Amino acid sequence: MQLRRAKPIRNAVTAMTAALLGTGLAGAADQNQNDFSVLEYSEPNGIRATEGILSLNKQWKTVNNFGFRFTYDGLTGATPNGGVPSGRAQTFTRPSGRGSYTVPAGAIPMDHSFHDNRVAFDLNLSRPLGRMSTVNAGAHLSLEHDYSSIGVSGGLTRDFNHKNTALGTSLSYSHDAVSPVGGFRVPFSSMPAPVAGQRRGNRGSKPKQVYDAVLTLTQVLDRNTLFRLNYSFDRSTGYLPDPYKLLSLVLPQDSVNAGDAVDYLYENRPSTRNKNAIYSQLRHYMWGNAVDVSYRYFWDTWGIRSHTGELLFDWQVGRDKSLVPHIRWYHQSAADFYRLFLVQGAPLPAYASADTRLARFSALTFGLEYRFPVFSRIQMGISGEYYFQLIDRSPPEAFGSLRGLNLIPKTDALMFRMTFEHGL
Amino acid sequence: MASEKHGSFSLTRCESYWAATFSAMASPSEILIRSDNESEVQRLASLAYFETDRIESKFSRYRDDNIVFAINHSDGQEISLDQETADLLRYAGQCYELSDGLFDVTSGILRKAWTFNGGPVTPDKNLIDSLLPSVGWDKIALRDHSIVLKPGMEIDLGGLGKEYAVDRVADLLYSHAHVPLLVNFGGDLRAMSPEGNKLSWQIGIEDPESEGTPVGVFELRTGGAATSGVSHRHCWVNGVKLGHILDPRTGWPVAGAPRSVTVLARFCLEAGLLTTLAMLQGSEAESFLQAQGVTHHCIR
Repeated sequence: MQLRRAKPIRNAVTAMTAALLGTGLAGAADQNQNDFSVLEYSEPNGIRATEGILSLNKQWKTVNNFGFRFTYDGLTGATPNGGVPSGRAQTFTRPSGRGSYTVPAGAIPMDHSFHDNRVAFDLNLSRPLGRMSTVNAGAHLSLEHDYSSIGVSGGLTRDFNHKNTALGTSLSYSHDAVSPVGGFRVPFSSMPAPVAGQRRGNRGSKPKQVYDAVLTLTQVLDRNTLFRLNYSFDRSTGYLPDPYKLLSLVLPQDSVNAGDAVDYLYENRPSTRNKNAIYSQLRHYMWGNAVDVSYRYFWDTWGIRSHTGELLFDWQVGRDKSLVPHIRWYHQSAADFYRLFLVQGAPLPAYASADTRLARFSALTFGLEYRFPVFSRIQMGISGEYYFQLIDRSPPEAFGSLRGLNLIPKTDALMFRMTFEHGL
Repeated sequence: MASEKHGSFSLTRCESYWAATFSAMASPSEILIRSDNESEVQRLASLAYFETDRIESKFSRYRDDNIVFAINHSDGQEISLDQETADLLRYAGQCYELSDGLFDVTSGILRKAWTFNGGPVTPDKNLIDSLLPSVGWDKIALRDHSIVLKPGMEIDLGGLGKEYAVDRVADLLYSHAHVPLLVNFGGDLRAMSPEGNKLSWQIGIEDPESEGTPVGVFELRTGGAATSGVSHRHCWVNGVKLGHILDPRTGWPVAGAPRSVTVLARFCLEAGLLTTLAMLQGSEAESFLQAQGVTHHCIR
């Protein structure tokens, strides 16, 4: 009797009380949350991007959620046009067909006229269906001067096993229209000479359809550990090439000026792409801090296989303040039709692209975020990220005048983001 | 000091804080808010009033239109539960297990056998014995979102509801404004304060038998506190004074309990549970609280 009376139960009482007060939010007053964030992205030798996101979330009758998000992206700077460097200066026609730009000998051809603005609107509604399920529906619209996308989505999540397990499924469809500046290019046609004063070609549009399905399993392993598993399938059909990307057509190995470009051809890609991805995530909480480990495996019908591993710590450094460092490693194999260049006289492949996003490479990202309250009800976050690619810039297939040159641009990027979260 | 009535609550400007007072949970309820923004204070007071009213309406056993009434009149039928009620009942079950059956939300019907009006009583042993089979959380089937009680059984969330409301209201207000605030429902308290704010509230502990005479003072910056006392609600059996806290295993009031127990903890609900459990230990109340390592104050 004495022993039982002195049983220390305090920690158990604290834990179960925290669990009750932290989770049983049903029936509490409506919560609204509005977020605003600004992102500055810059590659020292390439693209600069500014992104602003405003998201509004409104809850009513405690169970229905309405979300609206507005996104603006502004991009400027230089983007590789796909051609390889050459021992002499090279001149390229601008995408619009009006005017040209010249790249010095030995330099990677970059189009400095890159400029784009994108606005996107997203709507999302969710509400419970019975006691154990939640349904959601969404719509999406995004507009650029040469690309537009409109889509719908719907999903269902169901809880099982005392809310320790949740299974979710979602489907989405998007209809995109590509309308390149300067009109469509016939695959493997030569880059035309610039035309003064007027637009080249008829600027029509071609469709692209994207179907997407996601299955999600979320499992509470214990009071402090959460496991998530996702499988996603995504099918794109229609016009998939990058209308502005070229391939250098170079003189063959046995010619006098081997490796020199004699022409620039527009790329071509298959008209379908099926993508699959499996994502797993483990999140563990201890003393208010969290460790998050995730891994993603991706494969597609273009021959790309990729692995992404990420490690994140969410470290409480005071009430409502946290420091979140993370590191991400990425590796992908090249697409089957990735080519650094095409060789004159060799048979043309069915598809070819020199887009370095389809090349074999690895990348590392280091990031740090600090989150803290400002004024009452506003939580602010400041984060910085550094991204750099590890890629063989002078691959062994280079020959002649290309040997020893850096054929692929060095890609690294700095990102700086500020977020404001306002709970009402 | 200017006092203003806002429908159901009244708002008073004190020197360094605002006090919103209203009547709820069968006790005087007040919310103290340190803020210079009067419209914010009004909004918080209104939120507090409506949230308190919501919880009281939902879990009071003195109403015939709520989930507690439905459960207590289910006559053995399965009753569907919303998430909040299911969570609170699961919590009650955890309290039962953790206290080895001492804390039991099904023990309320034992009150039928006792009158705590300060006078002498003769306990009806037959009545107590007839009530005991209807007491015991272990006889209840609590599922994910439903509950089944044996006919004749009742639940009473009175031992949790007020403290639960204190924590809920404090969390709600603090999620709307990061300002120092204190929620006080008849001595059950929860204080919230932004990190770095050194201001704390001075809380007086009253002698249960002479109201208005503080016998102790503690400071609360953040966290919860609860007091359980037997002063007004007691009876005499054969010259022995017995407080209103009933041992669900015997059906009898616990003898030797302190006149008042105050506990400080992270949450009000946690503090309240520990005061009740301490009272249930009777003469062992102090040693129980010492074993828990919590700040406490007992009056004998």
